[in-house]
Amino acid sequence: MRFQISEEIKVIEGLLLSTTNEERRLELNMMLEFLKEQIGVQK
Amino acid sequence: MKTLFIQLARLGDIYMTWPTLRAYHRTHPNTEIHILVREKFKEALFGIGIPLKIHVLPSAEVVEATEFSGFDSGLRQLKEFAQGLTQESFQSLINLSFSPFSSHLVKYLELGSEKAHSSVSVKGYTRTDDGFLKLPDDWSAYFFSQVGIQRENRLHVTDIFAEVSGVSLSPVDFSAPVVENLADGADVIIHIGGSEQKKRISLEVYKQVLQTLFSDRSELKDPRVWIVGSGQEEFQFAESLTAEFPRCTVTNKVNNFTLPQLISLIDQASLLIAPDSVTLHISSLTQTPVLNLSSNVNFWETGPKSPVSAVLEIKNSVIDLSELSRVINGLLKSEVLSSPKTFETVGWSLIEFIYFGGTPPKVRAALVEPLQQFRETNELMIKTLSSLEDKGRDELQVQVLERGDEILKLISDHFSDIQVLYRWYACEKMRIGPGTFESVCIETLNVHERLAKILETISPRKTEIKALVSRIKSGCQSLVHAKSLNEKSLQEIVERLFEFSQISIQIVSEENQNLCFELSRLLEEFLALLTKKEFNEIKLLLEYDMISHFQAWEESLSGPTERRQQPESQPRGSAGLD
Repeated sequence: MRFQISEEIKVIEGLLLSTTNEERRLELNMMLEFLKEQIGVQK
Repeated sequence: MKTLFIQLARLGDIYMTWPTLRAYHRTHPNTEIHILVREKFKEALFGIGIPLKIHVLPSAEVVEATEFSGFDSGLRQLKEFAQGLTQESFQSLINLSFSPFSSHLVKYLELGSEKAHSSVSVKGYTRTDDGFLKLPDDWSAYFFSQVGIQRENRLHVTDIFAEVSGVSLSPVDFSAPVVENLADGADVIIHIGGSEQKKRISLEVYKQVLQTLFSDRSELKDPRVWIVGSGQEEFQFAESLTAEFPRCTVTNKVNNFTLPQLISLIDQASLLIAPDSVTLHISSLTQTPVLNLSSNVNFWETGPKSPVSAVLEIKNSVIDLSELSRVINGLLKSEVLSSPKTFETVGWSLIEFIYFGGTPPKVRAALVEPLQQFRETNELMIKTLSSLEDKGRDELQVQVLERGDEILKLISDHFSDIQVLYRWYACEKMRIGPGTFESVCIETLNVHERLAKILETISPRKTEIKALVSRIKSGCQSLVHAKSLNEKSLQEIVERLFEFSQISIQIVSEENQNLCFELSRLLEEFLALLTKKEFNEIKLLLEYDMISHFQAWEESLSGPTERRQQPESQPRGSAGLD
């Protein structure tokens, strides 16, 4: 499960590099931090 | 009116939020209070005794959707949930989570309200339009910059939550949870858990705790002791511990209780012994006497709030046995023990001065030089910002500002006492929101000017101190050569001496403390003579004591480099013989 989430985190980080729309960036960042917390919770 | 509290931290944090929620209900009786928590920790709201609408973050669903169909699917779930919250039309959002995720979520909810053309006030972490962390209130800024392990904060998180929420806590907000009492209980509850490994206490320490409880000198004869906790690891730990005391009334009760049952147990017990954990925060509500075995946390922030409580800091699994015995027996007698030894630190004094209008801290001599560099760097940055304001954007000047920031950070990294100041400064700069180049310049300049004011108060300039000492010394010399002295001719030197006396308090150190004592003695003698108008005696005091005293100050204020450059003194009579 952690592996899958880590992969998704990488995808979002990649997308954030090329996304300029502020609202989309907010959504991506929200999801990114949510997933990072999930990994933290499982540690 | 509807207010949403966001508390996405763990069980202990939820219990530390209770007093705030109760105070908010007490002061806003017509407001519908909602709270967002995680599924895993929602049980910690049971028994709070106020009307509360609980929302649960659908973490499992979002994770599952992400795992099976990718993050976009998980994000869709998360957005749907957030949109559901937006439909509640909250007038106020209070984020007590202090986490990156919660800050983005709050911004998302703010945007939702904006789209629905309704206004919402926000307290706690959120985001600016361009995605940077936004700290809309001073207490969130305080939390961001000064709260945490290895930091100087001494305010309890429970109180900070209340401040962020804009409520004042009263004793009624700390009442015990409303739960059904268990028929059975123990005299002493020992909690062996901890939300993080680093907060847990070693078996050795718990063995010493039990030895103290069962010793002949214990206040309780043959106390009934229950060990509580959860999970297989803690169960095994408790087994090892109880095996050491086969003839004592100590029982492994790990995994035996639900959270409400645990509350009842703690409420009925004479003493709780716990690390930084959920049980400790429950005891703040049940007001049970508590011994906090503290390790790797800032106990000021998350320690016990119960009036009958004590904190013992455990370092390298070592505990002071006589102190342990004194504290346990004192708590069993429900004594309010004397406060633990607390050392005044420059860091905490600086916090009190910067944030709460306290008196300026006494700055150690070792800090005079770095604070002066801090001040000079800040002055350069003020000049640079003023020039940018006048002439417009200039890349070179922008780079000067960036280097200035690096220097301020470098200095604070080397002197931990200055970190409080640097963190305040960095946080205030971070709070400047997006804007035009000119508006950002003006706001940045404002932060630097506020920094300058703080520095002006706490850091006397070394050059200014030296100049003052020289002025006093030459003043003394002139007075010695004056034909006669009177009160008027002594007026200026009196003022200078008082000025320097104040500064000496700020720069006192191990190296110059004898000089400081000498200074106050001389000042006392000087004033006594002045009161009696014994001007001839004053002249002798100036000539034979004061001048050499200020000569010694001049030498003390010169750095080691300057002192090395001075010629070594030679024995009287040897001069010129070589």
